[in-house]
Amino acid sequence: MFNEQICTADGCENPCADGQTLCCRHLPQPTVEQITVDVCRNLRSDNLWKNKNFSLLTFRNEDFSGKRIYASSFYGTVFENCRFDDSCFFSNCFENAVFKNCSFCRTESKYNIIGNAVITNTSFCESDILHSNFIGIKAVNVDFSDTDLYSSTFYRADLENVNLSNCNLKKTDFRSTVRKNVTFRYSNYEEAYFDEGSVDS
Amino acid sequence: MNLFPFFNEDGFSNSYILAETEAGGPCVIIDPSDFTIEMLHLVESHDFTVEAVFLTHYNRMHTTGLTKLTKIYNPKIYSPRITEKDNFEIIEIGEKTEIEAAGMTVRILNFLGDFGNAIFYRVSDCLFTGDLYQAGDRHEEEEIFTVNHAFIVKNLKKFLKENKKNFKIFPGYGAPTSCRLEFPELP
Repeated sequence: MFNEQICTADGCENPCADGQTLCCRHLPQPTVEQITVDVCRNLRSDNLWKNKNFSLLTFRNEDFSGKRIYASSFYGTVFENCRFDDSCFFSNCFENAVFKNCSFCRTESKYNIIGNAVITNTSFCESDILHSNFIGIKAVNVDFSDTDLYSSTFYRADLENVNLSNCNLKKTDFRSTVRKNVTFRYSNYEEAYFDEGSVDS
Repeated sequence: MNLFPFFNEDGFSNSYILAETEAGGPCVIIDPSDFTIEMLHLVESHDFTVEAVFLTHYNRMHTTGLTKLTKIYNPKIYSPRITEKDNFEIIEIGEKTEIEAAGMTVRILNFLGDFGNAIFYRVSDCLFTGDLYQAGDRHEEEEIFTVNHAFIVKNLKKFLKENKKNFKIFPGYGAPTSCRLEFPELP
């Protein structure tokens, strides 16, 4: 489900596209903008993304609503003003990705790795985000209201102005988080994990 | 390699189906727990046959589905130390370091040493950690399988330092993770 081939360039550990031995950064290619345009052109009509590799790309002002995205890699990818409403995410890797002004409302998400991502002005409201890994994320102005976050982990996350109202937080891990203006109103936060490393600042 | 995670509501644990192909051919299951109708559907909808089952540790929680599974398929079942007798044949892993199954090499990582009644499996760049390690799991004082958790973490870190890869970690419970997220201090 996850891409296994690591770039063979000296000192590089980025994942490669299918069938390649070099990552996007080291392959002799046109500019990233051109790649992004081509990728979007090819995939706008394709409702299913499966085993795709979009690592280290930039997507801007794209509407990907209703897509089913399975087992794809978006390592270090930047999403700006993108919509993924009513989409389905399963076993994807968004490690070190950047989400800015994005919308993931009413999405279904399982077994995704979103660790170390930077998420700003983004909404995940009314979604099912189960077994997902938000370890070490930095989230500012993020709305998770009415979302099921069962068994997801926010370990070491830095959360600021985050709305976690009316969420299912059973087995959700908030250990060692730094929280500033985070609201848990109407959520079962007593069933989530907190520890002495968690700080409300 | 294709990996299909499956959440078992019985015991709230994760099971993993691994296959070389996207559909058709043999597959292996890691920690099948209860082999539910949904899991059977997942196997059958991809036209897989279960060639082998790997248990990260021998526990009723992970073996309840084996009676059903062995009635449908004829898999070889591998486990570290077997503590109870069952109606089906289980192969004790013992000193083996790798096993070929469904066209894949499943490597055995025993981080508990002589205490070893629980193990990690490595397939390609994926680690299947069972109950021994979970995302954000740094409870260094906690005892698991009679071994201090710090001992497991120490051995895991040693392994990662030697291999220098960003392994994906698929635990028995909770979300998947990666070594880079778990141990950012490692090079």
